[in-house]
Amino acid sequence: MTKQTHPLARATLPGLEARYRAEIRFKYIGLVAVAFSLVFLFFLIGGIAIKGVGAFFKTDVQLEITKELIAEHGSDSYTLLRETLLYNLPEAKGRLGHKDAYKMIAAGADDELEKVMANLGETSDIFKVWLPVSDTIDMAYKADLAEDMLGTLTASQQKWLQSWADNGRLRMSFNWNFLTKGDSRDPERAGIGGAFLGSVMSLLVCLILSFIVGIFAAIYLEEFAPKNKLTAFLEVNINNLATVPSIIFGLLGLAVFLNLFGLPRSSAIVGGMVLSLMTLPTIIITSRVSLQAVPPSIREAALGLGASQIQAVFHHVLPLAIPGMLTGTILGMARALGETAPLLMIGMVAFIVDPPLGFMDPATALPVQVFLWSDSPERAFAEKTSGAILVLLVFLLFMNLTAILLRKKLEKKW
Amino acid sequence: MSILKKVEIGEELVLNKKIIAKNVCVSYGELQVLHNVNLEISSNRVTALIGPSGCGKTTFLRCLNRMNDLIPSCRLKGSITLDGFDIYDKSVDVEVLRRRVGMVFQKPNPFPKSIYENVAYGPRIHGLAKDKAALDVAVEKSLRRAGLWDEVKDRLDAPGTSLSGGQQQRLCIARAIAIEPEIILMDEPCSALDPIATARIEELIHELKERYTIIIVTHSMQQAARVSDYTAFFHLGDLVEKGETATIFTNPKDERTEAYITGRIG
Repeated sequence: MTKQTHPLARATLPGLEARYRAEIRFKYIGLVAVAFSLVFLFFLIGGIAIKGVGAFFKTDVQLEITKELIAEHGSDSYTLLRETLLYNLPEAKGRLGHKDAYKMIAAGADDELEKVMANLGETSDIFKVWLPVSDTIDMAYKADLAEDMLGTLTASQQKWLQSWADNGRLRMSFNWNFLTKGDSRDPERAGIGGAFLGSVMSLLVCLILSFIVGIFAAIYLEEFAPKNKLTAFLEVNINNLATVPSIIFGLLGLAVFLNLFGLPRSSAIVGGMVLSLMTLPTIIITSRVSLQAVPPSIREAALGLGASQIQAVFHHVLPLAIPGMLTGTILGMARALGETAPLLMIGMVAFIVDPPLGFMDPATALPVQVFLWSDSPERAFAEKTSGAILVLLVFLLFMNLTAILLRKKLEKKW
Repeated sequence: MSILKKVEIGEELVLNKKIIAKNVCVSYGELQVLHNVNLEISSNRVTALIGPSGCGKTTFLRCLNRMNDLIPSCRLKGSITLDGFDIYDKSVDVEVLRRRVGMVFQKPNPFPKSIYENVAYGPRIHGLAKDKAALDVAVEKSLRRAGLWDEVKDRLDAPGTSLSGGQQQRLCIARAIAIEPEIILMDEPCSALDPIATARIEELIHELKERYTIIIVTHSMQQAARVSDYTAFFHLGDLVEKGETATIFTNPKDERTEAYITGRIG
């Protein structure tokens, strides 16, 4: 006797088996896709983090300075540094030997030495000071004196490095200069402070311009503009603008803002204006969507009470739409932050050493800095590039987090 | 403000006929939804507009405070007068009109703000309360008239959306009467409510008609019979029959009316 099937069992309905199989198949395809992208992301961020973390640290060497050296060269830190090096590396003989010795220390170390000297008490015969080493030594030490990193050093430099490492005269410290200083030809002196400031300034200009213009454009188009052929045409073109390649906006900025208006080349204000051209369509579109999402019953309620159109929009519709608008704006800003191409067109790709102090000053931006460094031949710039990418990613993360928190806070209210 | 000035003259002219609609035709684009509607609305009475779905009764209601202006394709011919003055006249300001002709919608639509703010909004934008104290008085008065005061007096700061459906609808009524309108338009105010909340609103309508002229659109004939003094029956864009509610329900003249109230069409 065969077992009787339950009248509500799956097998009683033909085709149900296949439906369930399709559902399970779909679920697994989704899981695989998610896993794939997670692995990708992990390798991307992990790789950059491992490479870039070194940029935030520098190697210092402890050098001895005698009273006699200070007495002789105290007023000239550049010569003092050189003589100090020769004193600490007595094996350095001849012009080439001296040159090797000088190349052990960072290019900006004489400034550091001057600062140290200013705070030195006159108590002993020999002072010990910590000074940053040059980029090649720094890279070799960070790689634990691995063979492939020693290749650029001369035999005597390798020997000195080995002896410094063996005698415990090397230490790692946080590289504040990387975060605060501007660009430099010397990797040990190069920092992203200038690029960071340039990015912040450009974004500020971009935010002010595109937020105000974008939101008012969206409110007008959505709530007040008559629905006719002209507004339909406008809508299509705003959507088209959102898809225009960003370099075109850069060209437009070059032609209009620089050549026609005569605004200063490479400046944060022009960068911000070009970026706002690019983010404006995005902001208008997301703002209109969030306005459309407000139920019409709210508008009717306000209008039914005798509120004017403006009152209905600003008292009731806008407060409900603003979280969505802000999220759209911040996401647009995040895109603008990562944008490189339009900035190249308006000269923000220039080699700029001093961090910008005003909106009219020459500046560069984080992604452009990444682009510039990735092109540099010095090995240490590879590390700096990854470090700059990390800073850019953290900045982006911070902006997206702000968007989420802002949204939560504003939506929670009711 | 010309309308407000002319109120007294208007009242004398038309006696207790608050609103008079003459040959009203309404069309949305090519589609005509109301054909030559003639209807007088009596002051301090409840007038029910009944009829099957799509018969134009809501359209007619929304013409009375010009909410149909929001629909660009909507065109109106004929005349509607309030106290003898054409509400579609060029000099009419819709905000002044809506201040006098309030509206309660089908679905409760409180603002996503506090109960207090919901009621205070109207008086505030129209400058009806001089200070906070006067506003407090206005809010309490409106909530009392809407029969909601005792339920919400301890939580005026709670969001209006946290109330139950019936309470929300009474809040919307309180909000509408807070600006002291003369007429309240109600568009199926009970269609989203359960029978108990419906009964509560119907009671409220009885109380409100002492002060206000009420026009209510309803799908429920029982409701029309219970709350209204006059009934107008719409069918396919025509005003088929109008008169005292008792007469319409007991002795309809038109066979379509009879068919509808006995449940054969609709």
